Amino acid sequence: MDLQTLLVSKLNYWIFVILMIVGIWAIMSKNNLIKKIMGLAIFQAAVILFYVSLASKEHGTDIPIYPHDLIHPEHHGEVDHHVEEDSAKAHGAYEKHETAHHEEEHVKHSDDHDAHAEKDAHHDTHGDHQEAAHGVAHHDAHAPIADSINADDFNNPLPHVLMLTAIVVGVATLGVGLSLIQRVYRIYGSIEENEILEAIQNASDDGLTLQPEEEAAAQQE
Amino acid sequence: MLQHAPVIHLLAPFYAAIIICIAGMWRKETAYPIAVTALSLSLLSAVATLIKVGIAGPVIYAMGGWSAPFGIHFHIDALSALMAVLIQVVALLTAIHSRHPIHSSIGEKSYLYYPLFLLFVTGVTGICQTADAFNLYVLIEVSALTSYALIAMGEKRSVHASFNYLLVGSLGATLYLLGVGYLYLKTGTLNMQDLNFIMTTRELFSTPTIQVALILLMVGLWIKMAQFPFHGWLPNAYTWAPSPSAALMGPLMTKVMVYVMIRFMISVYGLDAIVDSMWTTWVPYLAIAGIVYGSLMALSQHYLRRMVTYIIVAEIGYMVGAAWLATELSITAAFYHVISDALMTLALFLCIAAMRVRHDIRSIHDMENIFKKMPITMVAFSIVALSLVGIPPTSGFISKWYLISAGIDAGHWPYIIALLLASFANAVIFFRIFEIGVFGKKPAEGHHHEESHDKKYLSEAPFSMLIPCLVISASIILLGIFNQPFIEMISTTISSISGGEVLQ
Repeated sequence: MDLQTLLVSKLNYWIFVILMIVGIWAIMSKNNLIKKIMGLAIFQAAVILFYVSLASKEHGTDIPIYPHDLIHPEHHGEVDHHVEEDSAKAHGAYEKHETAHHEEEHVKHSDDHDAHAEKDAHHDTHGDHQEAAHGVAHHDAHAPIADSINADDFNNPLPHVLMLTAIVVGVATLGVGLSLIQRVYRIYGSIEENEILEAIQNASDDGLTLQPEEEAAAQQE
Repeated sequence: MLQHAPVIHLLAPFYAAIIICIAGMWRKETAYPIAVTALSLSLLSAVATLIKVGIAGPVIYAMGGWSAPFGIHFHIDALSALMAVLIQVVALLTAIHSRHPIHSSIGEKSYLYYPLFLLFVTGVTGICQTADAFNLYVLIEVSALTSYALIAMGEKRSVHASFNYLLVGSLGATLYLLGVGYLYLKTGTLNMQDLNFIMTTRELFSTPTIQVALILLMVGLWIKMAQFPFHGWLPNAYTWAPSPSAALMGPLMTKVMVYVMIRFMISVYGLDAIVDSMWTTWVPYLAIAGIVYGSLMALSQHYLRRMVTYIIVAEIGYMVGAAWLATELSITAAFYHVISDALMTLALFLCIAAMRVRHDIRSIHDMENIFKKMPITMVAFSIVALSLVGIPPTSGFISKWYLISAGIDAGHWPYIIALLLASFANAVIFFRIFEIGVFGKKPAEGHHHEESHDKKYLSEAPFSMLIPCLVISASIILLGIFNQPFIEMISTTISSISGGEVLQ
C-alpha cells in the first residue's frame, strides 16, 4: 500500500489524529491557561469528528421520518439485535477502509454496486439476525414502507446522537474550565502558568498559610 | 417499590440536588437535612438491591422499558451492588461529617455545596450500575465536572490544582470515549454484554482495532484513577480541596475507576482475552513502580493530607497490579481491596479533618500529645493506621492477605515484595505519628511559645464529625472479621462472569 492510498483512503482518521495531537500539544506546552483549555476543546472536537465520520456512508443521506412509520418501543423489544445490525452496516461500510484486500476496490471508487455487494456479503455472515429483523418488519402494519427502506442508503444516526451528548459535556467542561481560569486570575493576577507557579513558590512555607480566597479578594478591594 | 430499587439510589441524590437548589433560596439551613435524608434513602435502596442480588442473582433494570441492545439498561450483579452500597455508605458518612467544616470554611454559600456533592454521588453510583459503555462516559463526566467544582471550593491553591485536574481528567475521559468509539467501530454496539458477545462469537479480540481500543480505554482509566505515571493531578487536587470534598472524592473517584477497569477486563474483554493480550507481563511492573513511588513519597511528606494522597497512589498500585495478574483469585483480591481501601481512605480523611477543625493540625509536627487532646478520634485513627499497615483483625490485613496469596498463586514475586515494602513504609509513617502523638516532640524543638496556653486541653471534634469516624473504623474491623461472605460473593460473581457466562 503506497502512501497516497494510505492518505486518501483513511483521510478521516488522519484528520482526527492530527487534530488530537494538536490538542495534546496545546495542553502540554502552552503557557497560557486559556490556550490550554482551547487545546482541550480541540482534542474533544477531534474525537467528535472521529465518531461522526464513522456514521457516514458513501451516498448516504439522513434518515427520513415517515409519519406512519415512527417506531414504537414495543416493536423494538421484539426485534433482537436491530441496533447492532444497523451499526454493523455502518461498520460494514467502513470495513473496507480497514482490511487490506478491500483497499484497491475502494480507492478506485469504481463501482457503487461493488461496495453494496461487499456489504451484503458481510451481512450474510450473520444473516439470521437480519432475517429475524425482516421477519418482524413483514408482520408490521406498514410493511411496504419498511420493505422499501434500505439501511445502506442512510447514514448511521447513533454516532450523531452520542456526539450531541459529548458536545454538551464538552461545553460544560469548557464552562467550568473558564470559570476556574477567572478565579485563578483573581487570585494570582495572571493566567500565565509560569507566573502562577512562581507565585505559589514565593508564597511563604509551602503556601500553607495562604488565606482563603474570599478574604484575599476582600483585601484587594 | 422494590423492583425500582436499582434507580432509587441513583435518582434520590439527583432529585435532592435539585430540591436543595430551590429550597436553599428560601431557607439555607434545609440543605443539610435534605442531603442526609436523600442519602439515607439511597443507602437503604442500595442495601435492598444488594440483598436482592445476593438472593436472586443479577438484576436487570431497563430504563424506560427499552430492552437490552437498544436502550440503556442497568445490569446489576454482586459487584455493582457492592460498589453501590460502598458509595452510599461513604457518601452518607461524609455528608453527616460535612456540616461543621463546610459551614466554617464556606459560610454563606455553603448550601450550594450539597447539590454538587449529591450530583457527584449520582455520577459515581451510575458508573457502577450502567451496562452501557457510552452512558458510562457521560456519568464519568458528571462526576468529574462536579468534582472540579468541589475541589475549587477549598483553599487558595485549590483553584489552580482543580484546573490542572480538569485538563488531565478531561483528557482521560476523552481517551476513554475514543476507546469506546473503536469498540463501536468494530462491533456496532455499546452494550457491555453485547460487546462481549459479539467479540467472542466473531473472534475479534486479536484485531488491531480492539487491541488499540484496550490501550485507549486503559490509559484513559489510569489517568482518571491516578495510576503511577498518570498520577500528577491527584496530590495537589486532594491536598487543597476542602476536607469534606477530599473525604468524598479520595475514596470514591479513584476506586470507582478501578471498578470500571475490572468491569472492562472481565465483562467486556473477558479474562482470556486479557491474558492473551500480553499486557499481563508488564502492567504489574507499572503497578509496582506506583506502589514504590507512592510509599516513598508518602514517607517524605509532613503535611498530613498530602501524605494520604500519596498513600492513595500506592494503594491504586496494589489494585491495578492485582487486577492485571489476571487470575480469578487476584481480581477477587483487587475488588475486596477496593472496598477495604475506600473505607480506610475515608477514615483517614475524616480523622484528619476532625483534628484540623479543633486544633488546626495540618502537619505531623502539630500532632504532639494528640492522644490526650482527642482520644476518641485517635482511637479511630489508630484502627485505620493498623489496617493500612495490615494488622489483624482489620480489613486491611484480610485484603493484603488475599493480594499476597494472589501474587503467590500467579508466581509474581516482585509484586509481593512491593506489597511488603509498602506495608513496611506505612508502618514507619504511622508509628512516627504515634510517637509524636503519644510522647510529644523532641525537646530540642520545644521552644514554641504557644504551648503554654492552647496546646494541652482536651477538646474533641463535634459529634457530627466524631460519629462518622467511629462508624467507619468499626466497619473496617467488621469488614475484616466478617470477610467471608464478601469474598465469596465477589469470587462467585467473578468466576461466573469469566466462566463464559454470556448475559442476555
